[in-house]
Amino acid sequence: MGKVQSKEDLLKLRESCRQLLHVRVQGERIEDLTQITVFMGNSGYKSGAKEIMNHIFEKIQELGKEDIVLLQADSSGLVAFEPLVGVKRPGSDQVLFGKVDLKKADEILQDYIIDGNSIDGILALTNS
Amino acid sequence: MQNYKMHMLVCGGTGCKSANADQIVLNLKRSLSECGMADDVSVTQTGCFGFCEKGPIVKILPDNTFYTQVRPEDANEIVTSHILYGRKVHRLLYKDQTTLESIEDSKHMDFYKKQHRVALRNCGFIDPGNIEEYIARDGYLALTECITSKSREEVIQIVKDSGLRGRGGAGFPTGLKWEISSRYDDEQKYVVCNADEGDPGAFMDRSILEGDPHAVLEAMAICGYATKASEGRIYIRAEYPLAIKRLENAVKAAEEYGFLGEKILGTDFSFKVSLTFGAGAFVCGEETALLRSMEGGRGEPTTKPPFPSEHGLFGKPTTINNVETFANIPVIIRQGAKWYRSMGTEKSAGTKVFALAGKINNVGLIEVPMGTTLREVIFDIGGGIKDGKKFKAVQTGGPSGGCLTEKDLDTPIDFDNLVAKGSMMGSGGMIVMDEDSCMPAVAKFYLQFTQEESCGKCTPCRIGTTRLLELLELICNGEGTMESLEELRRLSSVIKDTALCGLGQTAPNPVLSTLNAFWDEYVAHVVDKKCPAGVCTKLLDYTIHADKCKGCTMCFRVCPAGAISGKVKEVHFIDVSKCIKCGACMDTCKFNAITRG
Amino acid sequence: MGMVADPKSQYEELDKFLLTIAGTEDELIKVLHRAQGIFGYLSDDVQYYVAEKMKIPVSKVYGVVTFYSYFTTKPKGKHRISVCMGTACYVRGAEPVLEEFKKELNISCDETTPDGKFSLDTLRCVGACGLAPVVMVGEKVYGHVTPDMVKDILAEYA
Repeated sequence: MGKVQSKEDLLKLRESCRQLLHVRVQGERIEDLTQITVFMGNSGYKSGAKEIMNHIFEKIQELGKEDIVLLQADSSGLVAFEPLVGVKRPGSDQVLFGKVDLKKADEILQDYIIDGNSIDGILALTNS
Repeated sequence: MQNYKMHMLVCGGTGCKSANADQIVLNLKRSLSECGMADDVSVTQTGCFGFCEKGPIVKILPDNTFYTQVRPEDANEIVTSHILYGRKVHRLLYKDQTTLESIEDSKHMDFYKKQHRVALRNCGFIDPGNIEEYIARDGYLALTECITSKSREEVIQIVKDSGLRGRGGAGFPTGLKWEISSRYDDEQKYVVCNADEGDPGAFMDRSILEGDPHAVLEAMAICGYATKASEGRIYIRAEYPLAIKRLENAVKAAEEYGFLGEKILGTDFSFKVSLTFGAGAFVCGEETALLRSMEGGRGEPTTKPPFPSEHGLFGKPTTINNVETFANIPVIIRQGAKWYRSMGTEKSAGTKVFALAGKINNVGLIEVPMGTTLREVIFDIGGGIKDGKKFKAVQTGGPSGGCLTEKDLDTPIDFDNLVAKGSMMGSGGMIVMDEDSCMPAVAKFYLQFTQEESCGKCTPCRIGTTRLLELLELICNGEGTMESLEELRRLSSVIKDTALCGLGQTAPNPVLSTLNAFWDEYVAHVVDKKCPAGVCTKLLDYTIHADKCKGCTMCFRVCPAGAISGKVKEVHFIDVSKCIKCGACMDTCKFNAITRG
Repeated sequence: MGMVADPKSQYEELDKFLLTIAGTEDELIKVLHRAQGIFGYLSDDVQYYVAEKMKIPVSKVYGVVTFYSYFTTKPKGKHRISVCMGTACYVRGAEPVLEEFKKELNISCDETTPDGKFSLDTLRCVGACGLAPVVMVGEKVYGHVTPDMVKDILAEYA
């Protein structure tokens, strides 16, 4: 008697198995997703960007937002503004937020990305 | 289930494993543990990514960084630099060979841009040893839909409508084959998967079996349902131990999850799969020889008709398909015949996997829509000829195929076009040759292979290939004449007409195609007694260079033919009329004063 | 491969294997693979034994053994060297590598050195064409092999 006894069983199993490949599937369709990039490097790490990154990741999981992907990059050089977080919507330019703490991270995720409101803290410089 | 922030995929194909991919996996895991990130980042060994020239490959997701030529010693840096600090390891990135720029994401690389991976859809993406990853990619959904909500006739119609043709070489319409098999009524019927991939230089099937074994199992079960067969057997060559292991594990997992066995998914359909090993006989790729081998005998072909659909394994109706053919089935069922037909050409729908090898920059496994030209494959995807040499020919179809040359480069690849040009697609092996290849020697190489692999049952092949080989040896040794060339042609056409099976019937193809395309080269061998490519040692002259010769007399002493003259401390001289071309002098000379050309 | 010196236990191991399968005629090749794995090669005695156990005429067993290139009726060397002569390896220079091995070991293809240390064979494509030319010594794969590398490879097994 196998684990899967019907089509319904299979579809349920497929749902739970999708989590195994979630990050890879995100990589495949990355251009269609909203990309949150946390700038790391030694300086970012020292400024606490790793904790911000972990926090954002957990929040994305909690909210079940599959169309937001979390990325990490080297320090952009803007050390004074670290932890630095970039947000890039599909088809748009990247927008940078400086000195991001946990509260700001929540605001970026919920207010800015999910609710689509404008929030302050966007840096005038663009990252090139 | 653990939520990983990043995935690291390490290529686990045979080629990369031979280059220490396993050690890379261990080192990555260890480094991640040491940095406290073992819970954040997973390491998975997948099937072949296809870019064998640049292996071992490590891919990081979701940022899509594609690292090439990774060594076990690099693992720690990848973890501490890229994973910990987001700093990519630039020296491991792929560099475009023309612009020399680094390309991080493989989808921007020339090697991948024109590819369309259908049969290879899961290779390099999933862990072939984990059925749940296969299920996550809609695995076994096609089988479920077939056995719970489609009739056998409907399933066969989808395959027919898709236009899928056998990918093993013959190109017989798959749907039609299934339909014919389904008509024969017998209590016991079989589905057989031909995984004997004997063409040297072909590794398409191996990669699918190693990278996505469940796709083949699912397809065999679908075929079993459609043709009313209850048992599937995979004939796999013994030279593929990794593929064997992955298949055995996949069968166990499929049984455990209920996709194989009795009364699958609560229906009346039962299907089981077992493996049979080959033992090193190229002829067993021919379906009747394969069946005789599966029955425990010598792999000697039998006449057709009757075809295996009517009278196959143990005399029962049997549907035989190639690995790649099967790999396409689940996705055709799920996405529909129309989708499949939207790719490829009118008479050759879909895509084809090719093993690109030889004197090409990007050796590896590729999959392109039918209709892609040879030029695009060799120069765009393949990156052109290695070391900047000149393209001479591309051999397609293995020992049964022929050589295509410069004038054929714009041919759109499909079953019929290549046959029209004097070759065939075969199973997908594509060997690229440059100006340093001697075409008579290439023909001789292929005949050495087919002559040895001839099963011996029928005279035209057993004796015919031996005679062809002897003629080619004479030609390459400088003992051939113009009559030899005529004899080659004549004998080739006789063998083609009279041999019992495909091995014999196609054995003369490399001879005929090189005679046609490189006639002048053959003439040079038999009339001028010269090998223009500089390969046939018996046709090359040995020369002692005055500026390097020290007069040590070593060559004079080893020459068995007394062809060298010279006094101590004086430049020596080779008399070419006496020279037997043994090469002993060149091997002995410590001053590199002797060359061959 | 279990190079157990004692023939009795080798035959016992083969018997144990035979018990795990149906033992029907179609399983002959599977049995021969296992027998070769245990004994190292398929001597006349082993062929007679298999024939008797499986109730197949020994002429049939012999016919199968001699048909397939995987099976050998001669003992192989301690280190089995196989040079891949697939087309991709050939085009990238496998022949000179084979010649160099022949020269260094002073044996021909399908032969074993007098001291039983090395045997030389050609292979029919392991499918690692990205590493052409390929040489296998036992299960170890060497890639991108050139004639200059031959001495060093052999030295590893000195």
